[in-house]
Amino acid sequence: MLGSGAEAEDAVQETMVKAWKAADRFEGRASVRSWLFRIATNVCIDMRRSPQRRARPMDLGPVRTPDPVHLSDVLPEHAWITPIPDEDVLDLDGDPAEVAATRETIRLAFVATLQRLPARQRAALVLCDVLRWPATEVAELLEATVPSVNSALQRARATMAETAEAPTGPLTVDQEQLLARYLDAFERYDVSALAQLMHHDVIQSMPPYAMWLQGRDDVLTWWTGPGAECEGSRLLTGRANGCPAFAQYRIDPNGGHAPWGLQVLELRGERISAVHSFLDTEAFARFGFPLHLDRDDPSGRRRQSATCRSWSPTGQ
Amino acid sequence: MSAPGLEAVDDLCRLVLAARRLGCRVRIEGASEDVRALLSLAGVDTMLSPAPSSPDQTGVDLP
Repeated sequence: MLGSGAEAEDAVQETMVKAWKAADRFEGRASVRSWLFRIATNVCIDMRRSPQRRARPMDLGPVRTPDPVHLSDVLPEHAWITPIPDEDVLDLDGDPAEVAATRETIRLAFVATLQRLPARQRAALVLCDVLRWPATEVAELLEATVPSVNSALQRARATMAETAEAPTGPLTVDQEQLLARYLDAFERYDVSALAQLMHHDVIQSMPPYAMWLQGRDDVLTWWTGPGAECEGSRLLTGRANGCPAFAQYRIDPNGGHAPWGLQVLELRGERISAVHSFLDTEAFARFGFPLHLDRDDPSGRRRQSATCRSWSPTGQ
Repeated sequence: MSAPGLEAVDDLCRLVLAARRLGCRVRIEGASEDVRALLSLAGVDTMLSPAPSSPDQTGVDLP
């Protein structure tokens, strides 16, 4: 410790000035990097109540059979990733290539993988690839050698690359149609029509339940069984974690429809590869979705807040 | 520091580096959970969290 408070304060100011000068030399904060700035802030906000690592049900336990008995297994709130509105982390009016790249990074799997990387690899990835520090400075900061930093960086990149799923450019016309058919079939609760929209290995998860299902047959068994209570639901469209999403409202016994869950869909080609239903009605406000749909309100779909756009990144 | 983002990580890491070059050590105390979660996400929390104090080291504590 320094001898006096005043000396300490001077030292702090001096190092701050140096740090800021160094930061100024550092190239302008290019938009390419802005994504992780934003996602980190959001993940951070998300983790506020418990800064522990979060994951998806698929990362936390084995696949289950479609038996409601598994609903007794609820993940603690801090354990699971919560959905993030695209608008919070994406500049949807920005460069389309950057929007696509950013969208990839906020996918649930990406966020989960990032959090699972060993700290040193995470630091190498963030400092080198996002903050664009030279490897020599990263090595100095981490008190490591340049080769070991490069090695950590390569491993981190490889792990993150494995996470990259289907290309995440703007949705194709076919995918837009797929989503329109999904919405229509779900609102009619036509399970056999829904089945045709899914890959045979489709995944369904329902955080905070630990249970997750894989395979079209098991998913449909669930939907025709315990899930049949979703009949009569209404869906509003939005985007979450770089994926198309639907706010699902179930029939409210007191009239109209009440928030039930936020469905985040992952697509592979022209089929649905995963449906993650976040049974988190608090998310509705965060996404700007109405907190209630009035009975037979034909304008309900148009009453979405401006933050809830269509699936198309251009809002078309 | 408000609404911490990776800019904060960048700044803090540069501060640590600059301080080290001056023979000082930076220790962050009383950081909000947001900041700690962010530093943890970036994998640099151990460099900035309170370390066991050593009498021959010069330390600067940030409020």
